[in-house]
Formats: sequence, structure tokens, C-alpha cells
Amino acid sequence: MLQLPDHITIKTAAPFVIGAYIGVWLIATLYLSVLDSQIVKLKRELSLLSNKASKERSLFSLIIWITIATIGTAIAYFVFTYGSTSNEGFIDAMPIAIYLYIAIWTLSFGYLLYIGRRLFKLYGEMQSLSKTIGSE
Amino acid sequence: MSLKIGGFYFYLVTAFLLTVAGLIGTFFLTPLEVKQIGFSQKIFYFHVPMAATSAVAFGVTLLGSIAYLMKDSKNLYRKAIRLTKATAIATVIAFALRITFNVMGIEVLGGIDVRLILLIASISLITLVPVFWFFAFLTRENMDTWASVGAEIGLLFGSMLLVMGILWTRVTWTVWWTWDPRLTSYLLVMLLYSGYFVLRSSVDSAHQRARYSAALGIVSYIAVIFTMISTRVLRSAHPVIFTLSDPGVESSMLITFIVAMFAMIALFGAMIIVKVTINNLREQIEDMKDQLGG
Repeated sequence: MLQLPDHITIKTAAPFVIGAYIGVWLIATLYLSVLDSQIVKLKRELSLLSNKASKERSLFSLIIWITIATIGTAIAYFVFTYGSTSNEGFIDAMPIAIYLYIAIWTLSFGYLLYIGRRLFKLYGEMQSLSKTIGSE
Repeated sequence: MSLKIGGFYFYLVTAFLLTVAGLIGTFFLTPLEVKQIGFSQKIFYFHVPMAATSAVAFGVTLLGSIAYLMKDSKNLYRKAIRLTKATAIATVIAFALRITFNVMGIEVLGGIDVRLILLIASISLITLVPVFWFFAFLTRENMDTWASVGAEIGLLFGSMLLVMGILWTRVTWTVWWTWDPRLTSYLLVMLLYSGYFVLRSSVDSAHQRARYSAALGIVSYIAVIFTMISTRVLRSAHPVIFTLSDPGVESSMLITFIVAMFAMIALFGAMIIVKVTINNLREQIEDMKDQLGG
């Protein structure tokens, strides 16, 4: 039988709420990085077919640094403010939750937009190459 | 601009605008739950939309799989017409039953809220019609691609859902994991869809791979449906928020939740277009390599 606490304080909840956001961040980043690397690979293969050199690179290392910086900032903020977090206060944990929320979405949208733009450019190149090969 | 690119930007911009609205709603407009779970309640605007999106993603797998198997034998256009007719009749029956139960004052049958079930059934049926026509215009290979990409992104959202859920469970139930019907059935869903990819990687023939995985994609959705209704038909500690007679939350919370859910589904729309395009492009490059002699 589960033992439910009478009232969950902000102090007990905050580490897990922050942990959940960081977990989501890592999974989303990992998946988008996989898509990124797949596009880089496709671009290279297409370049081989069209005999043009590809300078396409994955953003993976940049994303790693952004991840370290974001999660590091969140953890540092949490460590410095944890002691002062009141049991009843919502305000104490709110900035870090908002910070992580915005960070996750900014990364997801920004990275997805970047991936999409490159992908559809590649798609256009592929279609024109198909036409060229077809006409030959 | 092609339909695909236009669709990608449409979904991405929609998701972005709705997410900003969801953020404002989550942290500034909705009240803080003060009775028991406190701040951890804020997960509701993130966790539940994720669950809904994973169900939508697995739904794409289901429909792609059905369409693939149907196209295997005969023209899908005719079948789309037949399915549309059958769906229309089933929807009318569901609505008629709901009105009848309402007039007779029957709300619960065998412990299940029949009015809620019928409402969900009629909405699902109406949603199916455009989907039939969408798949009617795809090639068979594309259906398999959509089905597998649906499962892949469903697993992505499912993983994020589990991470959030496990940490929330630790806060509110003081344990990391419990064999609650909702948690157990969702774990089964994740295992089934992971198995879907194990199956795909173990079959060499493209046609057989698509057929076998389509069968598994259809069967696996039973577990998704069971997960959805598990908290209503079995004893579960997992919160049940919405009922037909009572939204269960304040209007500001409900609106924020709906906005967050559509944001997540729109994001899924953008992601599935990207992933399907990657897969299509890969196939085109492979074909081109074959044309050019490797």
C-alpha cells in the first residue's frame, strides 16, 4: 500500500521536478542530435553522388556545450538556493522551473528549425539531381 | 514551397505560439495546488500532453499499419470510401446510444462511464475519416515509413513521459516505481513498441518486414487503449482528472492544459514530417546509387 505524504513541500518536490525537466532535456537533445547526424550523413552521400564536396557538420558538439551550460546553471542555482527554500513558498522554485522550461523549448524549436531548414534544402538538391540524372 | 515544407513550418510555428501561451498559463495564470501535491502538480501541463501525444503517435503507427495491410490486396480508394461510410454509421450509432442513455438516465454500465466511452468513440471515429483519405494517397512503402516513424516518435515521447512520471511518483507516492495498472500497462506499451523495432531489424525482406511490423503495430495499440482506460476500469492510485460530468480542474487549468496538449501534438506534427522526409530521402539516395551502379 502506498503511503502518501500529507503535504508535499516545495523543498521535497523541487529536486525531482528539476530532475524531470533535465531528463526530458537530455532525451529530446539526444533524439534531435540523432536526426542531425542522419542529415549530415545523407548530405555526404548526396555530395558523393553529385561530385561536390560537403562541408556539412553536425551541431552535436555545440549542443553538448549548451546542455552542460544549461543543466550546470540549473543545478548551480538549485544548490545555492536550496538551503533558503521555504517549505511553503512557490516562488523559490519557480525561476528554475521556468528557466528549464524555456531552455528545453528554445533548444527543441531552434534545433528542429535548423534541422528542418537543412533537410528541405537537401530535399530540393536531391530532386534537382534526380531530374539531372533522369535527363541524362 | 511544397506541401511537406509548408506543413513543417505550419506545425512548428503553431507549436511555438501555443507553447509560449502554455508557459504563461502554467506558471502565471493557473493556481498552485495547495492541498496535497503542491508545486509538483505543475507537471500536469507537461506530462499529460506528452501521454496524449505518444498515443497519437502510436495511433499513426496503427493507421499506417492498417492501411499497409489493406493496400496489400486491393485498391485503397474504394476501401477508404467503404470505411468512411462504415465510420459515419458507427458514429451515428454512438451518438444515438449516448442520447438514449442520457434520456434513460444510465451513466454507468459494468463500472464504466458509458457516456464518456461513447463520446470518446464518436470523436475518434470522426477523426479517422480524414486519416483514411490521407493514407489512400500514400504509396505502400510510404505507409510503412509513416507507421515506423510514428512508433519511433511515440517511443521518444513515451520515454520523456516515463522519466517525468517516475520522478513525480517519487515525490508524491514516495517510491520510484509501483506496479500500478497505469504504470505497468504503459511499461508494456513501451516494451511492445521497442519490440516493434527489434522485429523490423530482424527481417531482411522489406515487404515481409513491413507486413510483420504492421501486424505488431495493430496488436500493440490494444495495450495503448488499455492504458488509457486502466485507471477507470481497475483500482489505481494514478490520478484521474477528467470525467464527463466534471472537468476536475478550474477553467484556467483546463484551458492551459488544452493549449499545452495542442502545442505538443503540433510539435509531433513537425517532427514526424522531418523524420519521414529523412527516411524518404535515404531511400531515394539508395535507389539513385543502384541506378548509377553503386
